[in-house]
Amino acid sequence: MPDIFTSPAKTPASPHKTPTTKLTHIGKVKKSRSVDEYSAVMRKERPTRSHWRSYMPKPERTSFDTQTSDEQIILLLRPHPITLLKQVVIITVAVVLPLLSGSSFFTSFLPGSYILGLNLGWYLLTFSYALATFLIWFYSVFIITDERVIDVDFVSLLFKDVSSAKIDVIQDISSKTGGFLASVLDYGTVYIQTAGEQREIQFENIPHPARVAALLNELLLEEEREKAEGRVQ
Amino acid sequence: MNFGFDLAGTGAQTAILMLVKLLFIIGGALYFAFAFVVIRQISVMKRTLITPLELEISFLGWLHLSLTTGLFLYFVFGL
Repeated sequence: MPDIFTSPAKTPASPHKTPTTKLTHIGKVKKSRSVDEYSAVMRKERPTRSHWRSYMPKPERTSFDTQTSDEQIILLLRPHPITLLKQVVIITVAVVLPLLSGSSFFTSFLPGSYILGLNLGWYLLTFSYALATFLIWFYSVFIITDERVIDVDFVSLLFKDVSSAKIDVIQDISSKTGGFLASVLDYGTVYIQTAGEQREIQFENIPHPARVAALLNELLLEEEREKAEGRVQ
Repeated sequence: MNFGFDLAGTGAQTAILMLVKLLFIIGGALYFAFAFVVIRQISVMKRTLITPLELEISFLGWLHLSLTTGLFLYFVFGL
């Protein structure tokens, strides 16, 4: 078995196609393959430039706080936008309600300046709710790198929950799609059972759950291949 | 609805309006503090996931704080 793995000669077109060189604990230089070389799922995907999407393969100009220098983001996921439908309805009703309500208990007995203050306060509350909804959706992400899976969950604006697991401790991967909208729009939940401290990681309501599960299986196989070939750090 | 009696021009009406104004100001002050927390939390979020959209998202946070400040000032001086 060779000490140094040499990848097939290919011209790298993007950072994701560049094999990364890693220095092992015994000082030998090893190379890990790029994701396009071993993943049929990722080979079909182009790098994502837009940052508003909920399914972002190989996102460009995106990183996260605990990312190591040789770690590459393979896939970044957010909950499918349709899961925000309830919040969008609430915001729409909140915007329209003062216009429809007309005279009420308060408006009959408060002066005009107080009514204006109430209306301004109401619209500001609505804006706050919309802002919080957007921020929680935008920053609650599921990240798959070539080393780990990370679940960043902002339960509310004030509570952050981050869990991660290395690819090589993943034991079981399953995906579930249920309901009319989920079937039509192809979104669902991916369950990742691990041997680590965090027993289960869930990627909830993400687009293309079956494709994500397939990618995780490919990463798992590649991790085992790296160990077998001595390319593991 | 006027509770079955006319409050216009009475001392009771003034007292009730003062109480309502006080409640508005307390609510506005709490909301102002919340807007600061939002700014703080946005910076935590920006550190967690680093994207080129940081400027736009910060702008939303500061816009929220500015509007909250404006409303609080209106509650203090405009009522």
